[in-house]
Amino acid sequence: MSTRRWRRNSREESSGEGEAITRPSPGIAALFEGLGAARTDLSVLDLARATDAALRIYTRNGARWVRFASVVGDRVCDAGALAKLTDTPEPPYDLLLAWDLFDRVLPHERGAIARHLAAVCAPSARLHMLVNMFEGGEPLASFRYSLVDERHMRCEPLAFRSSRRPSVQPAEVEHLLVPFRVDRGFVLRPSLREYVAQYPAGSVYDTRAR
Amino acid sequence: MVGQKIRLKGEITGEEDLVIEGQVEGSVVLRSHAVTIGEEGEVKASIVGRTITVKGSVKGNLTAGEQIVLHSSATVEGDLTAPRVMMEDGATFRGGIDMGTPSASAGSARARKAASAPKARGSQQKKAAASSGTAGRPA
Repeated sequence: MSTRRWRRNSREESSGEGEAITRPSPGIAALFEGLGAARTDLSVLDLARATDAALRIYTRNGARWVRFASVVGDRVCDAGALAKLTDTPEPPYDLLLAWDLFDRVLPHERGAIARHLAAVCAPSARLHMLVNMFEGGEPLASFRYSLVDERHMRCEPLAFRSSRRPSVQPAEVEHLLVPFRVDRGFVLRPSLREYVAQYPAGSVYDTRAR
Repeated sequence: MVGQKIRLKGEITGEEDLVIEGQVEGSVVLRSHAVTIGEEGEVKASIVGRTITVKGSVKGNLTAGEQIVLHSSATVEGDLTAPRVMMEDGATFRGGIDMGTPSASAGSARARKAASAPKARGSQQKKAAASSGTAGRPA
């Protein structure tokens, strides 16, 4: 499917670096499902660039503490993403937004990053991640992702293209995210997959006091 | 006002609003007043104020009784504590945001730290268990 068709199905906006696209995101909708009324003391770890829209969305969904920790910025990370991530303080987070971090880091760092996210999350924490799909091994344009509201995300094209490093494959996701349990998966045509996973409360991996 | 060509090291305290356009290193404590870091301002300090407005660059923790505003030209690295935090598009921010009241936040930060301590031990236990081949086994 061409990128043109994707754009036809999405609301287009102008941006300095190209056309920014606002598109429905069932994964984001699943992430926020049932929040807000239930609690008002959520902790959020967002591994993307900070935006006012994201902050307002977290606040109205019950966030008390939000940490923005963009460890790779608007680029592919050659090394050291994990070191930057582990540099951040570790309150137990209830919501973790990894965006396309796992695509941007070196494959051998992915497992350690997933384990670190598991170590800093609260029981029943929810994790959202995106995986780019490559067409015939050829990387598509890279995007900077951010929240628009509880059901939409914004994709801004970046100047660089994704590296040729292997993308996370669908069969790898569940194994990569253990001990998180992948609850939902969505294919967003033409080039994106979304996953929402939950840290199981009472898991045999869960050694923390509750 | 700290002008563009002023460099200041140390602690700033007082009873009036402050605009920083120069370079400040240390701490700024003006609990009942507004602190503004202008576009040319470069601050490496913790800042406490009633309202804090950032248009320049700050490395340090910001604590405000009412609100913190990051304008599009702002670059901030540190933790923000205020009941209201606003960020314009284009502002660069890396750090945490606590939207409780500053006094309660200090308590909640301690609570979070305390809560994370057993977790860190937990992850170490997990690592130790993994290395000894017992990871994932039910007790």
